[in-house]
Amino acid sequence: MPGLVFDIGDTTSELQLARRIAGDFLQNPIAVFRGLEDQLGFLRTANTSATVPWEIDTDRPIRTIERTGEYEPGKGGGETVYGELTCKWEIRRIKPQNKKKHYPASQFELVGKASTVARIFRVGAEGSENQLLTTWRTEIGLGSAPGCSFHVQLGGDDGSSLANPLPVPRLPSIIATPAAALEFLLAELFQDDWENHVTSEPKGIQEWRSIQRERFRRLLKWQLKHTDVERGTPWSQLKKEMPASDMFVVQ
Amino acid sequence: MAKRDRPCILFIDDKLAAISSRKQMFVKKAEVIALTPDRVTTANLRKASVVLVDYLLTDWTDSLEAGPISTRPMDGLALAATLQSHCDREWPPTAFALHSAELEKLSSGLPAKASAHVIARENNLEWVFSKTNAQNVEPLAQQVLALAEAVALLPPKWPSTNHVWATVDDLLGLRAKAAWSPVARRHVASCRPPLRGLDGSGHGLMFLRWLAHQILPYPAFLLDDIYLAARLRVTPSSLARAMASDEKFAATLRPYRYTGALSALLGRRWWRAGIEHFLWRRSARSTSDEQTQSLASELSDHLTPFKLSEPVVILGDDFRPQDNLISIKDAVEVRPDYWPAFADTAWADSRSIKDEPLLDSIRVKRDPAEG
Repeated sequence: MPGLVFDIGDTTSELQLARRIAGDFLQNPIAVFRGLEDQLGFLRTANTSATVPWEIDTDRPIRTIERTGEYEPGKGGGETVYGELTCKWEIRRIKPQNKKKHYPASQFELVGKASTVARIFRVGAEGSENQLLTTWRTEIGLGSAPGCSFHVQLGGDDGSSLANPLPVPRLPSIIATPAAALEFLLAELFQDDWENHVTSEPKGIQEWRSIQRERFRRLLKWQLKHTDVERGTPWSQLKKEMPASDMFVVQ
Repeated sequence: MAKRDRPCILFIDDKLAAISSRKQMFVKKAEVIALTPDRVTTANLRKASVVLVDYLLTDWTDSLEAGPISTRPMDGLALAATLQSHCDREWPPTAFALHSAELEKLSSGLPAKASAHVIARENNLEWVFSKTNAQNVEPLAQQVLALAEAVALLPPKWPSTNHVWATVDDLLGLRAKAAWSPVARRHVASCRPPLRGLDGSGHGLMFLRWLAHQILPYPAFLLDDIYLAARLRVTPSSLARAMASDEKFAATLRPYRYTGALSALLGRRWWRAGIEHFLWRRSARSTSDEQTQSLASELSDHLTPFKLSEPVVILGDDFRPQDNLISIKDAVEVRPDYWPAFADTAWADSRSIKDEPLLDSIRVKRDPAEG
């Protein structure tokens, strides 16, 4: 079964826009995002059909700024926290048809793991370690993977203190890409500020909105389509459906 | 508009004796003309690739006859502006620079060595050079020659939109055949180079200014040795050792060295895209820290891994990168004036910033509660 196809240009733009829009909420936006963009850039002209990682390494996560209590509206929380985001996708370059081998590819396909991990830490007192409070993984399961294709799993899979011994539950999700998962994290951590920020129409928000809206529309349309069942239940149908490989490709 | 045959440096000083020794620095590399301000002609300006004006010209300014103040420049800065206005846009480009033993007077309290590009930018000059060699990042003659040679590289006429990237590639020494060149070009574009706007020779100088004032001093699409060490997850001192004494290692990285215009102005620089592509290709297309460190250990025995996680380069109280890396956990973001938005984040050591008032004053306070 072919993997889920993404447009390299769209995905790169999405990363650039995320860097621009979310920059004030992040500690280290430029270098980390640029790394992800570069990996796609190199793959574009690489003469390879091998599966390659597309990743933000756990040693160099995207890290948000620290804030106290903003994870509740009205700064109602009591903890001083920050978030981290890493991801690992296994992807493959789609060779352009009828072109020379180094002709720049415009698409890649997701062929294996697609996991974006968010972690929230409590800032430790002077001299003490920061404490991991919660973690979740935004994933896309393909092929014979169980559970809803787009899902979120609770806990880590990295042996950390919050590692989940079970792969369940796989909660349905509408988040697909690492950049979209970052917006989700920021909206959770900065309940008021993120809302105020994006509604103030910062530079780049129009393009970001356009990319996200198209993805959400396609994903929600696909979900809606598969809830219209005559046998079994909508959920059991949605749980076993796999998206078409070109679901996110804008023709 | 013809190109000049060879670089020509025009020194303008009220004390010519001081210049004669400097002439020797450029023998066989550039033509040198030394004149007092009252002897400069438009023909001299037309011939010069670089006009280097002394800042203090008191012997000359004191000798000027009383008259309207508009006809009496007070110093070399004012004289440079006057001479710039005599340059015709149809001539080959001419860079203007200041030469002074007292750059601090122009740096608004910032360390002169770290702010030559800022002084130049604020005073409509291509560069400023200190007469005190220790205040120049590289030896004076090398820097002046780098500027003169860069001017010589500029096309007589800036190309039309269709060909502009070919010219940018030429000026930056970017080889189109390199597998990483499309990514490098994207990095360059994200730094907003001046690609179109001015007719005549002025545009080439705008491009050089962008390179000298906004690119070379900061970690953007080019990296200096310290930022390279941080990327390779090794200590800067061990990288310097490996570059100096391990020819095989130096040769491995050579294709990624920046060799374009002004490459000798501020010291060795590396193409970020080239280094990233090298790591990506050599590390099974993974860019994880573990893979990078493992690769570094294979590259040279001289390289010492940096053990802490997420190494970052920190600025010292002179706003220059320090050659000791620290973990990002011990770092705090600072925002020096003029630090470009497209450059990597600037960091300082959170453990010592309180002892460095200048750095502390530009620390980024993320939480409104910090005041």
